[in-house]
Amino acid sequence: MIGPSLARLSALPSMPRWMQNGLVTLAFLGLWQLVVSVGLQDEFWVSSPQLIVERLGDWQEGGELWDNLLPTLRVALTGFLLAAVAAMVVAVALASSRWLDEVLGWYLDVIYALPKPALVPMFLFALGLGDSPKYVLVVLIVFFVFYYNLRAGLGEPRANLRNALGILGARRRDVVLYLELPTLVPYLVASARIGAPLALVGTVFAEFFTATPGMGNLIERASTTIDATGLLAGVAVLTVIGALVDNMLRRLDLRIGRWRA
Amino acid sequence: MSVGASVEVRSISHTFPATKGNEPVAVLDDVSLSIAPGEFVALIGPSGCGKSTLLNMVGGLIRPDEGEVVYAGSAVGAVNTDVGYMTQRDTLLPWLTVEANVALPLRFRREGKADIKGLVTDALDRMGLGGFARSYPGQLSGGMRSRVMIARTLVYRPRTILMDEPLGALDALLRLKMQDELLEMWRRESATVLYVTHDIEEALALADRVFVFSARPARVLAELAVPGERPRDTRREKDLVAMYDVVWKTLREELDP
Repeated sequence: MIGPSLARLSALPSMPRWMQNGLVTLAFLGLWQLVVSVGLQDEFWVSSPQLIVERLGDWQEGGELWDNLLPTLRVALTGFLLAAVAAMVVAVALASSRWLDEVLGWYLDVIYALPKPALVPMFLFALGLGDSPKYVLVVLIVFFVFYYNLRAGLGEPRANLRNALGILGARRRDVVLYLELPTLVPYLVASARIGAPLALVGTVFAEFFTATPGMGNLIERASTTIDATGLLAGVAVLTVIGALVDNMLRRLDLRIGRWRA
Repeated sequence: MSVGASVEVRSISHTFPATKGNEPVAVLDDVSLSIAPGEFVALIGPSGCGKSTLLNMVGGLIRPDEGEVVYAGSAVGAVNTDVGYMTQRDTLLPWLTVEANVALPLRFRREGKADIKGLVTDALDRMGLGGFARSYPGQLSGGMRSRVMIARTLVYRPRTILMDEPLGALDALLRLKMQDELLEMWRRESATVLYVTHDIEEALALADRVFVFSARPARVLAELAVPGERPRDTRREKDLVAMYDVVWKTLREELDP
């Protein structure tokens, strides 16, 4: 009995990868459903794929899904972009001025070490229960991902290329366009891939505390009412969004990095 | 047809200041050279003696402590965009295609699109790179990259070409072939050439004149006019064999600790 099934398993690698991944995922979900159906675990505590799908359908019909997902995405995306731009400005400024680097660099290192989620209640005291505390947390988290990556990129020694371009007649604008920006692109893409899921996590975490709509709000409500299905349905939505975004960024990375092949 | 520029190096001395953990380094000691328009000059000397620093000064990348470089009649102050510079390690931008790399000097000069296209295609064809216009430098061999460097240099017809061991990274056979191509380029462009090398035979095969430098800080030890039409057979022609010995003896004393 074991022999033939092993042979079938070894046929797996000839399938396209998305099919292999899909099979493994289906097997996991099937096992989960089975464990709950035969009563090994109580549906109330661990939910089940079927219940989660049904709940997502309800949310879709009742409007909860979009009412909460859109605000979360808006905050995550805006915070992410704000953090990226701020980090770019600060990194370029500190990389080009030793004095600024020595004065401000130290504070940045300390702020980086702060346990930022622990401060969310503080942000609520200061800024109220609206969207502002969410933005503060997201920016504080994502800023440092971009900042440290960009500093690494700006620190790359490029003197020989800079000199070569100078001799070829490059002006300041040409050096920025042809040398400095392209040098930073891989660092920006790497930052984006790390920063994007963190932006989503930061938003959802802050939403546990705030009063405005958001996926975090939905999940928090589920957890306080011991609603495992609601909690996992919310997490499932966020996971799918995160994976889609990462997939997009990975494609972008491959496209921009063609010359490295 | 571009005509080479004259290059006058007037009693240059230079010391690099001390950096963390390193003593100051004196690299050039009262060096003077006078190079006529269109002349091919080889600079030969022990590694690290300051030959590259001298080229950087002609290119306006380093300002000498003492003395000055007079280029085509005026003192070099800022970066000298009238020269072409070929270094041992190529300075191609890895994220641009061969075609885009060769187009750079023309883009920086704000030439028209159609002109750029024509000149670049021409330069690539001349270097046998026609089929590689859309390749990235990382996909090419060392020899091919040297050719791209040559194409990028001749596409904007600089009046002077500085070469710092441009063939140093190539194997011996390819080097001989590329020497021919460099000579061909020099003949066509009639540019002035300053050619830094460690290879005595290469210097004698290519140059009108050879300057022999001492170990650091570099002084000019000898200046030899190389006779004979090119291409030259440095292994058989008697004058050249004798000259090889002179240069080698001069350099050997510098290499002894």
